[in-house]
Amino acid sequence: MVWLVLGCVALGLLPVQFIQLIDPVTQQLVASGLGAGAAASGWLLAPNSLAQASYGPVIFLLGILASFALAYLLVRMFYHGRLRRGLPWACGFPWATARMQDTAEGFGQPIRQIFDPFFRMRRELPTSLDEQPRYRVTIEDHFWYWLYVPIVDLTNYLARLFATMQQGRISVYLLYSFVTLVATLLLVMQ
Amino acid sequence: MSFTGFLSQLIEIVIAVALAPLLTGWVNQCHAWLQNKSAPALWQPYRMLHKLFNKESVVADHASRLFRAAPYVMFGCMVLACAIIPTLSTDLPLAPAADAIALVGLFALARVFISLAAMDIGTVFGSMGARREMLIGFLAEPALLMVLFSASLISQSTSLTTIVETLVHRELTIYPGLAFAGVAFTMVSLAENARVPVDNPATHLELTMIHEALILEYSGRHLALLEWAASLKLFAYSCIGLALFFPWGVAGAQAPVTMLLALPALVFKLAIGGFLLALLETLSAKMRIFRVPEFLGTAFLLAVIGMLVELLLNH
Repeated sequence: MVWLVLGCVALGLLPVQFIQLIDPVTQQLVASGLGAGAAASGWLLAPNSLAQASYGPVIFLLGILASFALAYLLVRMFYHGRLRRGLPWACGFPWATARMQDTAEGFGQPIRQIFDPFFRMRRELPTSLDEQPRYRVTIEDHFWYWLYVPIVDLTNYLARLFATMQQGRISVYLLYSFVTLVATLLLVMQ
Repeated sequence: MSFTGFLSQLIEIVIAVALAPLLTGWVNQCHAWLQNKSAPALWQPYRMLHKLFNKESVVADHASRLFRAAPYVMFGCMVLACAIIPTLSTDLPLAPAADAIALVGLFALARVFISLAAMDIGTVFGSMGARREMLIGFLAEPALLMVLFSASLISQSTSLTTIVETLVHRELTIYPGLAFAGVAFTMVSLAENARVPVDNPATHLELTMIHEALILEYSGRHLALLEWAASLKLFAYSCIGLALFFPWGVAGAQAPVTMLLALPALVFKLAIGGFLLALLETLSAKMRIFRVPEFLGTAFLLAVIGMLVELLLNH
């Protein structure tokens, strides 16, 4: 996990070097790449020209770190660093229990609410009187019902049809062969 | 890096950090006048910051380091944002580090940190604020990007300094696309800065607050930094708006002396902008949280229309 995070950070900080690394691949695939252009502007990532678009992640990070440090030092220099630990204020509400714990649901819910027409949603909402409250939501998309379900139904129907054809006796199969033969001969004669 | 470039960069950062609370004070003052109240002094935000810095910071027992670092990160991000946006001069050595797209990313970074810090304590209000902030962020960012894209279509560049230089040095042309983008940008900046139709900076009512819910557990110097960062964000957004839609008066790279004239121009433009913001806030009412998607969806649509108009008329 930590390695993945570090990889992401490295990728974010050294995009120019990474683009040069994967440049042979893009050269082979589409016969052009950003490698040479990216290398020309050094630490800045400027795909076309500096006046058009640029991004310097290292300068970015150093800028934030420098203003972070400067703010910290200046606050300490001009004022005090006194700190007191206490109970969280929480608007004066001390009776928080594990049942009130927040989940990721709170972040997804508004987005689902906004894009409600795009989803087929079923909600099970608990009431305040439930002994063991249970919240459940299932989300499916309309495309599944509009696009895929008809195809699945058609395939199933055809499969059933073929299955009935396959469950015959030897005489029926001989009849099929005979009919096919006659039909082919008629076709050839014409 | 030239000496004048370094100097203009430094002056710009100092001006932004120093003037940002003044802009907040001015908006608050106009707000009070428009509501027939006696207004607080213009430097009330400075007094507030001084008071908060002097106070002891109370932090919850189980707060992690992230909670204590977040105000500094937030402040750092906003200072960097102000350093990138050409407010006084376009000769900025830091500007190539981030174009308009990276600038939106910088605001997103600050948003992620403040939301994480709000959830760090584990209180209900913090996570509620974090959720709402994320909701607004994910709707506002695409709209903001579209606004910046429609401005960048004119100069064929996403670099803010190039956009401003192109707009300043052309003869006065009316870009109809920019009018749509301007309305969209106003809507986005109201949402991003927790102003009235979307959020109310003066309220502590649990049903309505977004930004205040995020910083509810902060006190003392941490709160001061967050308030300052909020002022800087308002300043940064105002300056993006001025840079894109009213860029006159910004000094070019070739004429560093005009920076002397750029500062009064900036103050004048910000004063008008601040008054208009207060007027807009006084005239509108806070909307329900689930009306916000419609509001920001409209902003996105307007920005897209602006871009299409730009494409149709100029290509």
